[in-house]
Amino acid sequence: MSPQNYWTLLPSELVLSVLIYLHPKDVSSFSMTSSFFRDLVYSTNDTYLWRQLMLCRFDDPRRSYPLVSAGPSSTPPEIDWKTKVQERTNAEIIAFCDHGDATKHERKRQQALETFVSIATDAPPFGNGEPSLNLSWLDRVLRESKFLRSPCLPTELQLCSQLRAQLTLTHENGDSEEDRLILKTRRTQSRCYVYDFRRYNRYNDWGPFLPDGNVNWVHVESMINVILMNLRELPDACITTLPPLGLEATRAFSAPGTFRNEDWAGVEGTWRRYVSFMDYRDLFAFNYSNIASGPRNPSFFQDSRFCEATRLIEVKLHLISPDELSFSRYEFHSSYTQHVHNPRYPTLYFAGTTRGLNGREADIEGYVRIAADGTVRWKFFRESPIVAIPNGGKYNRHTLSESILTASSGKSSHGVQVGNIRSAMGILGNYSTADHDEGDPVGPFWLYKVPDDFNGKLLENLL
Amino acid sequence: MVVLVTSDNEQFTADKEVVERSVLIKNMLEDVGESDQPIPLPNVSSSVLKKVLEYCEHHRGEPLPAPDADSSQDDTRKRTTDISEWDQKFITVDQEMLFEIILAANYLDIKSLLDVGCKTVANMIKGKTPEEIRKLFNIVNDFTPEEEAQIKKENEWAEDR
Repeated sequence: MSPQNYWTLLPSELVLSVLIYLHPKDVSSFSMTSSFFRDLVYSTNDTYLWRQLMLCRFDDPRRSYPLVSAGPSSTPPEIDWKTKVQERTNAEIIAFCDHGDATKHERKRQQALETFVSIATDAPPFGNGEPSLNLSWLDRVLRESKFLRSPCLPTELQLCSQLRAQLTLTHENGDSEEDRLILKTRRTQSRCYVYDFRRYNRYNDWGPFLPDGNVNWVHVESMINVILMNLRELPDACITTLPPLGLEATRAFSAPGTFRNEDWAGVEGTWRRYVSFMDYRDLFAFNYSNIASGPRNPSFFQDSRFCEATRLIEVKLHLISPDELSFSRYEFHSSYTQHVHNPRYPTLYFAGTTRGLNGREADIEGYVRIAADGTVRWKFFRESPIVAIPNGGKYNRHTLSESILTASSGKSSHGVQVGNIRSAMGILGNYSTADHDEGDPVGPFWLYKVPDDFNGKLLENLL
Repeated sequence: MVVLVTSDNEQFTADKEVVERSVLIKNMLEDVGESDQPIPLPNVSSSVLKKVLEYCEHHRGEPLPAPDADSSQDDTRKRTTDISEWDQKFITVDQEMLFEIILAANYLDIKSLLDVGCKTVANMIKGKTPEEIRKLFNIVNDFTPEEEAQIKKENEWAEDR
């Protein structure tokens, strides 16, 4: 008597009850054993199996929060569970496979990266403290596979940077020698990018954008790296607040505070803004001089005497109507960001004040809207500031750096929200003067929401 | 005490609290009311029922899943293939018994036992190639060479490089 196949005892629905416990890869192997199981897995219109395989690993896509919808009257599209499971499984496999020959798998790698980005975008809004399955899956796959550490192809730069920007160095804590080396390299690359005058021009509206108007994630990632690495070097006692880091901080509505209904972007309330900058002489030397083997040479930053300054300032914002704009009223027309009229998310205008360690600094105004690529874009204008440099020898040698922050012409800055609307991670942006002269100071800032009653100390860690 | 009669006409006597882990039996008892009538279980053999009662005895008193937790619901968060130590030892049986337990647990509506059975079979499949799975379960490969090529293509998404 030949040995028996006991699967024949089970009705199909019980076979499926077994399969829902499998990794999709194992379901695939199982389907290849015989035509009966092949048909059970593939030749059915019933979505039960694929939906189950999806929902025990990922968030329900019906709960996601897309910022660019297909159209005003569109009903939620039918979800193709099978395709989603297959795309995501394949992306996971690609992440873990040998990256020795990236060009050979160019198409698959591209698909995998697009899938990773969409998995992050599809995470449901923050609420009731439940971590997102999408984000913990993505965090695990990227951490364990080290996919984003292997060299990527030029065509993959933007997607890789977008993912690394969202991870905010949470996978590189600097404990191992490998980590330290990676951080050192990234820091130098990021400084070279952020402090390069050529990165700010009329083709990108002097902001972290690409010529086609989309966000330049390489720039955003570089700004994150520059600020974070500076913060890591500060003594713990200086740090009373840090921007929220990691994928969970990218979820819609994860920022603290209560908001009025019309305030979809979470404008109103108290914010903290970290600013990093170079001494102006250094900035010039880096861009134009021939020391350190020529202009913009990475070795400029290897000099042990080189350092950046970090400030933490308070920003308070409230919504206003466009009619109430004062000093920035005429700036809006020159703005480059692509306009999309989004009835659900109309452009919001705001005004507010900034305060540093030495008191009130300047009034700001600006607006926030959703760009064609589905990102939340902020624009800030700063009124000609009150120049408030304290007397006394202590600050004298900082006068030049201070003058960057209190430049006599008005300053404007672009910001890009990392993650979904009202993400806890907040806004990364760069400042420059409103009149965009060549050689104007440039540098990154990180603006994030704090609870309304937050009272942590501000910071001036100058050069 | 409740009397159960198996397909091979053997009688089992067990505490009401034990047999009521089977939602099927629980509902029957509720419908019939207090009665000494034996309950026939024509789909369960004595060797399987013995195992099932051993499981129910061990888990007596534990809360039952809510009646609305229907399997058609997407109650999928945190589904794992972890099995408790006692259950694991309990379910270490030959394949025939394993599949019979799954069938009986499904028929008697004992959700937790059904889960243990399904997870155990799933764990046997995990990480194996199609050929290894066939061998383990004596599944006959009935694909024609043309079909082989087709299913290979169909499963490219899960292919390791």
